[in-house]
Amino acid sequence: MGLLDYYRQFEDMDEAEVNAALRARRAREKALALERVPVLDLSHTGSPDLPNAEVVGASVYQARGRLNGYPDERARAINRALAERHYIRGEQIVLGNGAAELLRTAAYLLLDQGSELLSPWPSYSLYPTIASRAGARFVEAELADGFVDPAALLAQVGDRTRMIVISNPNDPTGTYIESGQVGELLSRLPEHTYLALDEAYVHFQDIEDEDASMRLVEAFPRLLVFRTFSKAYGLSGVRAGYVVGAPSATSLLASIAPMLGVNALTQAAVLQALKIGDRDLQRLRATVIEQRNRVREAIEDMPVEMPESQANFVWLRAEGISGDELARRLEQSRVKVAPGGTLGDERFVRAAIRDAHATDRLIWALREGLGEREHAPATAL
Amino acid sequence: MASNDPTETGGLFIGRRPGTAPLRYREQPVEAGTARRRMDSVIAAAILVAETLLLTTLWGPQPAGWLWIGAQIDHSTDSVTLGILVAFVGMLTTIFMTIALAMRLDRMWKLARRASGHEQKKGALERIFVISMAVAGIAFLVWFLLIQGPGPDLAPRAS
Repeated sequence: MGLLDYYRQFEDMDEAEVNAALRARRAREKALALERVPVLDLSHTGSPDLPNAEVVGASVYQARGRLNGYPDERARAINRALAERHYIRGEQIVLGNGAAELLRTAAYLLLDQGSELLSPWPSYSLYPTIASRAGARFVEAELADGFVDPAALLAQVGDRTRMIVISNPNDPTGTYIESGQVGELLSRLPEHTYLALDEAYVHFQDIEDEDASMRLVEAFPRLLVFRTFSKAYGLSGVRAGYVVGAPSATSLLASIAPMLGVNALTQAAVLQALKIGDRDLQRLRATVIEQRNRVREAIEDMPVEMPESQANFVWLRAEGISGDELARRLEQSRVKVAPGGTLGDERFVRAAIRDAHATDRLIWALREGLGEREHAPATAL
Repeated sequence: MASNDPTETGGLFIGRRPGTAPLRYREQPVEAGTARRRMDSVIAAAILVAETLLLTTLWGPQPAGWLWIGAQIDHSTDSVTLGILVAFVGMLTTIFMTIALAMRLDRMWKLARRASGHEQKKGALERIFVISMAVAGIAFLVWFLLIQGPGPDLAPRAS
């Protein structure tokens, strides 16, 4: 090392030089971040957004209060709010720890060893489990092009059929059975058969009034309607749902009710959601309906089949490939959907409907996965 | 006890306090032996003295020298304007050249100080500039008031 070189090695970098190196590193990181497209998870049907801050606040406020006391066992405030909303009497409503839990309790009460629980299939994957836990046999009735077929259901009803459960709109196909058909089905059921209508996704249908089927409880004492706060209200974490029955079914409803009621934090969140949640719900509903129609229009020129969905998801089948293969191809385009194998039909996949950006990505991924595009541009992702 | 350190923010701002950033070299310098570092220490001191002397010339020798040159031109050409012009242009030129040279010396001083083992972050130019101005100002006042004495209007000499 020469004399001058020896001293030059003690030269420090000035601020501009240091910042230039940092700026270059940040630019590289940003470029890499843009290349890394995050996976869009459309495999579950719950709300991707955080709940309304006021709803959370109500629950937190409750948590900071008198948690040493028992909650209102009968959840009177919620009961009153729901009764006003649905134009029914409070005795006809029971709040529980999620619709699935209420449905399970109802199945325990109505089913016994050797009886049957009948359901269209594919449908909500918990129904067979509910039947087996109650000691009953699960009987499937085939769908007609993805739609619940009342005639097929009636054909399967036998002496041992104590309960029929219909998910309406049906998870995973998204199809909706109108209240007129439900009423007709109820009128033709034998005395020993109850109909449980699981309306977890009913807020997303745009065919008729959302309470149309619920009003049938006034005429049919063996109808139970289940609703949840997990989907449209986005409160799956608090586990809340309710069941509505006929005025003459109050003793059955009282038996379905959870012992000592629902916890105080859940009650606070649900009550606040009922007070202020309608605007958010209507906004979400409008978005889902708009984006669902966009998906339907987009697949018209693709080799893709889709039953008309009335839920916040679509049930897709691509010609010539299995649901698993379609899910794998979509995942290559960074869009994750639920393969139909675990949901009842391995030819299909279920994709949740979210906002416009998610719809763009789903459509691009479908085109890319089905070979209609070489590669989706980064701007589309 | 209250702090009067303007850089002590009491944790108000997250990050390093101003002026406390470590030196950043492009590559870690190769350390020399003790003898070489001592020699670098002497070189740094010598550079500092040279820098001080150089900057001190700004406050006396250089202006006086250019005024003398201006006076000579005035005398030989009988042009006051030309004399003043040459004096001022020359004065500004040498002042800028001196500062440029002082900056180079200051950079050399920093490198020599670092080579001698000190974490020398800043140069000494600003401080020397101010100190030399103060020294030159005091020297001028001593000369003006005590040695040379004020002009006849302020303190007329006894005839």
